[in-house]
Amino acid sequence: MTDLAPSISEPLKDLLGSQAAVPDKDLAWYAVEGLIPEAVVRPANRSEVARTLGWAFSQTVTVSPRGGGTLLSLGNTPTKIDLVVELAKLDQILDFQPADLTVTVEAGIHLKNLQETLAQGGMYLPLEAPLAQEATVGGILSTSASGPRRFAYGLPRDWLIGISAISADGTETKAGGKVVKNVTGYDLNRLYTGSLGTLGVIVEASFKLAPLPTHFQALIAAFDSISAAVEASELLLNQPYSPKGVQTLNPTASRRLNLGVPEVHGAFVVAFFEASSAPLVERRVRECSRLLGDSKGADTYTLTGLQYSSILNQITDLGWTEGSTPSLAMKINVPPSRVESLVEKICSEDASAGGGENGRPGVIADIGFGAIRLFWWPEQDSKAPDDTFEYLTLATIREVRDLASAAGGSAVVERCSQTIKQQIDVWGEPPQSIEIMRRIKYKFDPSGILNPGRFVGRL
Amino acid sequence: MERAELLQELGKIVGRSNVVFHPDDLLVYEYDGSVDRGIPSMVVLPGNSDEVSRVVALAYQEGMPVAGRGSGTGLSGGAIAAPGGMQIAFTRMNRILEVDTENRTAVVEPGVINLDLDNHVRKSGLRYAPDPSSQRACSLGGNIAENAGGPHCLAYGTTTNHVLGMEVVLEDGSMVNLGSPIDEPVREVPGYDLRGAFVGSEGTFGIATKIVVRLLPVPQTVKTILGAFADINEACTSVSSIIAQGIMPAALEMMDANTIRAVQATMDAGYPNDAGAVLLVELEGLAEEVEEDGNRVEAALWDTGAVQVSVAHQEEERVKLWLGRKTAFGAFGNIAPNMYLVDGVVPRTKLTQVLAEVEEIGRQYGIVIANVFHAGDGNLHPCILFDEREPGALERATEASGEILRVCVAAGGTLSGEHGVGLEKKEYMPLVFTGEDMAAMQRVRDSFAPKNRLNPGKIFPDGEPYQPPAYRPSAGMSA
Repeated sequence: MTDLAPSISEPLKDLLGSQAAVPDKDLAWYAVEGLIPEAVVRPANRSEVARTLGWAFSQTVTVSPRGGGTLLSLGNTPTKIDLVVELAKLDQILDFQPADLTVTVEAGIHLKNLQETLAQGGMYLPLEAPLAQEATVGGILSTSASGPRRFAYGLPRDWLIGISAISADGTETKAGGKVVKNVTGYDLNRLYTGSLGTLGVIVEASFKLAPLPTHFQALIAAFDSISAAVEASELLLNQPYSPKGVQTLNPTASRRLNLGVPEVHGAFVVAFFEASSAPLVERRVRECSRLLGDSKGADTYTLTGLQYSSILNQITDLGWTEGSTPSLAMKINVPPSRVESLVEKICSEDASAGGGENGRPGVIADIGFGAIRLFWWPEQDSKAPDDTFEYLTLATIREVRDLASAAGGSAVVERCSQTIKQQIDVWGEPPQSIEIMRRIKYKFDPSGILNPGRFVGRL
Repeated sequence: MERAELLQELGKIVGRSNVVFHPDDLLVYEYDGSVDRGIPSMVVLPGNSDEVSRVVALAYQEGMPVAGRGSGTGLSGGAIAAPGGMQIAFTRMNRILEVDTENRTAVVEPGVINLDLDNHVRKSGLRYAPDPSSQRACSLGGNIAENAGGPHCLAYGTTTNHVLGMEVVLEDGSMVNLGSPIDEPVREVPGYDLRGAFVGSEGTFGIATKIVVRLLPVPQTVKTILGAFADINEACTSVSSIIAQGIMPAALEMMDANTIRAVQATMDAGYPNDAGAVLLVELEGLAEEVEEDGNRVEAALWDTGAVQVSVAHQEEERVKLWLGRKTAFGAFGNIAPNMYLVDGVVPRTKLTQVLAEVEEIGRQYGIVIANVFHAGDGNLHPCILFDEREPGALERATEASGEILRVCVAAGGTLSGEHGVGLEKKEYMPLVFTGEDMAAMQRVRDSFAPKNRLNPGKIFPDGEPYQPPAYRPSAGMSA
């Protein structure tokens, strides 16, 4: 607790009632990148969220919204976090209309819970996010989270049809609506998505849904080299029986997963299929399996049921679970046509990225979408002193950025140590349009109280 | 600057023959596809991004508002110039600059015609999915301004789902890239999704001068099925039944009795002349999946009371089934010389109820309303048919349209599914958005265009009730 500034807990308890305030002893758990907030509140409804922000605005108290706290490491170290506003109590499904293929929810609902309810109506929301049982819809929107089937599903912005947010001064505004076709007014839905809580606190969201497929299968194929795996993935993506998503893993990455197949070593292709009947999904898997077997001589394995779910979750969660926390994680976005050569450069023997054999990253490439996730896990018996490691990490980040930029894309640091984070901008160079973004941020949050400093351009 | 001097300066930028300024010539540019009109002070036809940038910079210097114009097919007054304003027409910027089959993208200039793009990329086994009904004429730039839809948006999404990035000229003439870089198409970029906010901003944020779009593979099979019903309610039930089975057709279009009669009077589209409604279902995908879904669709149509079910097995048959739908708007000329096309959208389950209310409005105002709509996503297009030469007819059509919008909003819908707010619906915005909601939107606009010089006077209400221009016979044409 600071000794100079007056405590903010007391006024907040007056405002919301003491049951809304998290006890002091638990504050450390809500730390954001090492910054422990002075207070944490858990509003019961949106009106309390509005009152909280209105008060924070009047006192110039900085605010960090929190959903499930699963992707908190995204973004730069905040300039200041006085107050964390946790949205967990706003977890209601407000309106589910299966026949309209729409749902309206409060932002604090966990994705997994939402999907379970939607499934009862024969629907689902094609969103994926790490740790779906904890991740909230508001958090998924704010981070634009995605998963192994982003090639077919797209991003959260492609499913969002309406939004309500509390702005920095406590006013609630909405955009979009509850219908799947809507061009009434500006598309602020897209502005909020991926904005990391810097424009407002999302309290309600409406989505368009899709009919729930009933049959799911995954196809796994093992290869001797990452290049062979990449070529095989490209094959799968360019034929009519293409899967919903293909993930290509190098040995360093696949060693971290429990794939449930006999081969333990090697590069892997994991393809995800879904359809409305067993014969249809089996046909797709069979065609792809034959394609891989014939042309690449690969052994293929089919996973269904719990094994399917397990591998899907493992790949989605890799790098975000406690057991798989990397010392450095980066996400590259490039044109799909550039993924092959980029993966080759990163995985090659000569790659200095990370510094030699032990330092080569785990690679999960989403060739269809054009995204590559890179993970450097700490070696158990690493003897390198801390500052060497730091130097190497900074060099690695620079090198990956250069490679991504040469391939026409960008590289974002998704996880790293606090010391590293203080020395870099995790987002890389701001885009040319940063000036427009700055204006928007300033108009929506003139005092800069929402997640200050975390976003692109340190907005 | 005096007008003559300004015209000269513009001529130096785009070439003298590409500056339109004579009143007789300007008349061509005073309209779009709606009932609104407005004569621009001048129209400029640039040939490339650099010319656009310089023209806009000059207009900015002169304090002149600017409106972009694609093909002028818009239905909400989007391309209509503000009084004393300049219009920039993209007729000459109609090149498809690149098709990248590996990344499945294309780079186009804003004047490229929607269908021309689709036809061109099909040669490479790809397609451009958003297909507004006006696709033979409408431009990509216009599509972006309005976030255009079309029948195939049910399964594939609207324009915003298919635009990866744009090169944009801002109100002061400066250029900026939004979203993916033009030459390196990526699906995700860090930062606020300015690209997403720009699509559907009705020309008020900036002017797109190059666009990189996402293409999809051409589906293995397409199957088109037509069901004819005696009663439109049965057709609506059929739609519900198809969707409830988890089938997501690529398109699901419906036409009512008035539309069918108009179409059949023009050509034989194969619709029973006395049908209450016709439902067109299109399925796309793998042969066996389409086969299975097709059987279930046929069964659903018969089960819900279809009196006739036609299945297209070849491309020619498919084109024939669609012909009625694609020429419906033109066919209305059989009933009346003018059409006011309303763009209402409601939750799909409310369609039956809203159609009944629309019919009642028609009776109340003594006007014929024919309905064509995207049944799958609740986007209805009641077409008010009238003769503008009849005193008060346009006013009644406009009032009826307002009533229909109110009915849509009351049923849980909103003002516009795909045509945009523009001039036509701006006074109705308070039906769906509060002052605070609109203020937030204007903050975004002011971030792109602080002086609000691009297409001002659109989207947001001024508090004046909407008045369509009074009937005025076209100059030089006999009444």
